[in-house]
Amino acid sequence: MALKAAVFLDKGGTGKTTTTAHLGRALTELGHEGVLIDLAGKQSDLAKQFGMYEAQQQAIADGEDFPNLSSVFDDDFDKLVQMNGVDAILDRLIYETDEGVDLIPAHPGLDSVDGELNNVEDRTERYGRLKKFVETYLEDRYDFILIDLPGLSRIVPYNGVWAAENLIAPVEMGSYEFAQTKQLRDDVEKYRSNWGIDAELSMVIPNKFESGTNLADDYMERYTSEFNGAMSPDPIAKSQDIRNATEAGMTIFELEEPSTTAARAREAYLANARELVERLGGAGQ
Amino acid sequence: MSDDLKIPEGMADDRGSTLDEEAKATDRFVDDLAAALGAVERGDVAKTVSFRDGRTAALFNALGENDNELQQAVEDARAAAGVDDDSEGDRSELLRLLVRLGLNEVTPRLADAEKQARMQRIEDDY
Ligand SMILES: Nc1ncnc2c1ncn2[C@@H]1O[C@H](COP(=O)(O)OP(=O)(O)O)[C@@H](O)[C@H]1O
Ligand SMILES: [Mg+2]
Repeated sequence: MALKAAVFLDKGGTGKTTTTAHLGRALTELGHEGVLIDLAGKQSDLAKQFGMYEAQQQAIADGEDFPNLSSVFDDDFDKLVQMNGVDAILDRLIYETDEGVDLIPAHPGLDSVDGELNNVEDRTERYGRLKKFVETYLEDRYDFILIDLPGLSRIVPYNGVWAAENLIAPVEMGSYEFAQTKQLRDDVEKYRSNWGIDAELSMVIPNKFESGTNLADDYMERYTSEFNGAMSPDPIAKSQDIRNATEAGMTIFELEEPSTTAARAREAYLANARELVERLGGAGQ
Repeated sequence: MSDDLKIPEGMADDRGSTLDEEAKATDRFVDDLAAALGAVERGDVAKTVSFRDGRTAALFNALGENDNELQQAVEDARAAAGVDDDSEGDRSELLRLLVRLGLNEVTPRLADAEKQARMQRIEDDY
């Protein structure tokens, strides 16, 4: 059983992509092999984070982008695999990043998948496609599978929820985010009862945390009392290095001379990754 | 290279053609947008946008009277948009940010086209 989790909060910019990338890298650092799946939209932020955006866009421009993440949602994906063999298909679908973690990047084709699945009546067919793909092809090959979700509740992201079941929410210390996190917890209950899936809010990670400010301390207290079991061991500090590294197409684990804050953020990601393994099992443990 | 893959019939139609058509339509839109950006810069098209909606008008009217609420909303919108700015905000900025955020979240396709159009403008300048 691989560790599976999806990073989600219904708000842009709280650090979903950053969290997916850095937890993935941290788990890699801890010796686990994993793959990241980018359902977060065709801006392909995870490919950017690992410096692979140009290569991927070139592949799209050259028509060498088949199969891709949108193919996984196709009725005939299994047939495609049967006709060509698993390795031929996964080789094309999965990119190897420079940081040891694999990536299935976003694809513009995902845009139309939502519309197509909208016409599918059967619930499992509609929401369970990614889950089937993950269980059939990825779970035996990897220790962990992390999914980056967009901040939007639609069919493709729900496929991510079905596939991962465990949700990780990166949150900022603000009233809107606090409300959204509570909403997410309520939604998770609804997923459980309406869909009969084992959804869980597994980890709430304070991000862009500015310790020592009253606001941060205040909210930390509110989050802790509201979500105590789900809180991550460490918050992730607000760090310009995180922004810079992202812009340079890497995680902060690649920085030669990280700032003190970035070094602390690394440690925090590692601690959170360890705790994730502890909570969710899997990851080859 | 995908040429050497055997592709199930049902999947073959999904490839290429539809995406190409979509891509062409997007390209045209990006061109129009780049032209519109030029028109705004030259002053041929007004920089203001207005729309009719009583509820929004009421909301912004009340925000004009309640600066605390306004500043809090501006702060939230800046945070959501990743804007680092501590200066005092106004209603126009709030509206602008909210529309931007909406574009990014709800219609990323439009946001993307706009980005491309701006890039195209920059390239045309040289
Ligand atoms: N801890 C942090 N410190 C500083 N900047 C951060 C941090 N986490 C994320 N960011 C930056 O915030 C922006 C939004 O983060 P991102 O992960 O793209 O959010 P989301 O995927 O939720 O939209 C990015 O520019 C990212 O580099
Ligand atoms: Mg993102």
